Amino acid sequence: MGNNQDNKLLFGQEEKIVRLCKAEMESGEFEGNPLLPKYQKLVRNYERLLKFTKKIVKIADTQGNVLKKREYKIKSLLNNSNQGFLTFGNDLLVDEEYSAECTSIFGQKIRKEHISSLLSNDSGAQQKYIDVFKSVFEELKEGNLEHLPSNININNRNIDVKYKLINRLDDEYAILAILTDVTEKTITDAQIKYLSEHDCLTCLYNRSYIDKTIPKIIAPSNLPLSVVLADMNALKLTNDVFGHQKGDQLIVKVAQILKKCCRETDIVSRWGGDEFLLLLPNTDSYACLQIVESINKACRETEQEIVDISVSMGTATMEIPNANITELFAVAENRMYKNKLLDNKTVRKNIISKIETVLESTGIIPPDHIRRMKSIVVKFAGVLGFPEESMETQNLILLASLHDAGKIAIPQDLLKKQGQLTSDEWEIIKSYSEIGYRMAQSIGEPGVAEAMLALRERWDGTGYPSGLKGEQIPYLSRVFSILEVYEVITSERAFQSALSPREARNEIQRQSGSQFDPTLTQIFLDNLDHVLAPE
Amino acid sequence: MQKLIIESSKSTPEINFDPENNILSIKGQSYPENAFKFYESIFNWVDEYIQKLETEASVKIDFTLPYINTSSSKCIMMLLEKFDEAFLSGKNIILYWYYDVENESELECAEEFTEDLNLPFNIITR
Repeated sequence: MGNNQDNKLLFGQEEKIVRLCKAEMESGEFEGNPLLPKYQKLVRNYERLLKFTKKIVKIADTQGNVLKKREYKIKSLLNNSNQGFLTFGNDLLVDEEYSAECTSIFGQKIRKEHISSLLSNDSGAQQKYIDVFKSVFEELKEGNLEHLPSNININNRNIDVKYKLINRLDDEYAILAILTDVTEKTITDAQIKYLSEHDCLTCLYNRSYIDKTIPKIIAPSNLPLSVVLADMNALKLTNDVFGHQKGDQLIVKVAQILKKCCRETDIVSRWGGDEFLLLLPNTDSYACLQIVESINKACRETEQEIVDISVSMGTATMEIPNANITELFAVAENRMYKNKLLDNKTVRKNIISKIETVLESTGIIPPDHIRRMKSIVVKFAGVLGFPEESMETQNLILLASLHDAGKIAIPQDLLKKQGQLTSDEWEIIKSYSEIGYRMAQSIGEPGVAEAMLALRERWDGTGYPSGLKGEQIPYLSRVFSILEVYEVITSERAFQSALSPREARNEIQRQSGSQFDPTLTQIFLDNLDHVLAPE
Repeated sequence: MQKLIIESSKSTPEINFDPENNILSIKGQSYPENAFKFYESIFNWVDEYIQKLETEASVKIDFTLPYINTSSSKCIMMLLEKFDEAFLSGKNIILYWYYDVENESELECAEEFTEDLNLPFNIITR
């Protein structure tokens, strides 16, 4: 309707002429005029032409509008596709129409720019582009485009390029270039590849990378190939007592040591939780042992707060091609476990010694407390009928070393806090016996662990952590708690003076049957002079 | 009379005029550089066809023209006039104009073409 109205206005003058002419012809004014028939024919044709014109204008406008809308939609589609689309003919100049991403990729408008200079700054490369594009237009062979690089650098961006030979009009060909900025994708792909091949904690290669690398690493050119399987000691203890964060720090330290002691060509990997695998190409057994020794040395020289760094290692060397890598790993693993057993005693001894040193040097316990406790427990064990080499006496000695170990994991300011503790603080303090329990478990002392857990239980059942009563409390705990309390109250402490032997005796007597086992208390008091006698 | 068959190209429609079965079909876009030159042979063929057409014959004309440029529009109108004149002279002619329901311009154009014509003009979706 609107269009018809427009057309009436648009062709109003022409329609008026037709109306006037028709009226003149019908008026009879020109009857007999020899020009009248020609005039009538002219008017009819003019009217017909006007009709045609009106229709054609309307059709053209309608189609034009639709084409414009389509053009806009297609442009929007291309401009929002985040891909550069451009075409060029055999003059190699970029056509007028290209997608917005092209401007972004090339950093400029590219209409009528030479495609070779857009794709490269290097004259040699530009000539190659020209030769290939020309050959494509001459031979109409799209396959020639495969000789061009599909990934190029433009303005420090990584651009993926695809080319297509297209039939633009009936006999006119063009090359369509589709450019995709894959910079972010390349970075992400590299990150994914890195994460898939590396352990995120230590940044060493992971097991999956090793599995992929083995076929390459056993190549004859890498022989002799040595493998080292290294297993961390005391990681469980660190995790159980000081938390996984400290454990992770220990793993990272070991990874750093391994990396430092290996060469560029070596492959250092985290094989499992606390296991590492080193693949040493072109390394005979002698050179391999030298690397192992340098790792041991670096571990010894690395200062650690509580738990010394140590790893048990097993090695194996492949001298001839086609040997079985699985067997090689198995040999290294067996040797590693064998060494671990041998190292175990030393590691355990070192841990206990380190704990004693840390407890005293940090002031968690009074100086010489452990030595005095060891002396008392041996003598009282003798009174109870246990020889020094008996398991009971040895466990009491170990208790003397470790009974306060759990306090290492308690914040120092809390341990040394003056005045009343809040209930939350008290809960933290009380947890030390459980930490000590885990520590003793970690070094393979379940009996001592049970005794440590029950050191703060009371005979009357009001102690912690489990409220055990009477003989529910492990025997070693009942023995040790009497000795420990006596030793502590007769020593000078930060906020309390030492009690005299008489006062201490009275205090122990007073707690008999409430805090302490009355029978053991009586035996202790009866033999106090012997137990306390200097060695 | 020979069939008139012209293969379609990028800018011209397919012409398939079958005088034996009296089915005349034009199908495709029309925007040749020289429209009159393209349609001239069609006009001549149609003139001869109509001249030879017997009154009792039933002619079916199928038009499917998704896009036609201005010159082609003029030619199509001339063609329609020829058929309309034939219809008015008693020939049995029926025209089917097929349009794409998703292309709003096609229906509008079809309606424009049908104006001032007398022959049965059916606009239907394709």
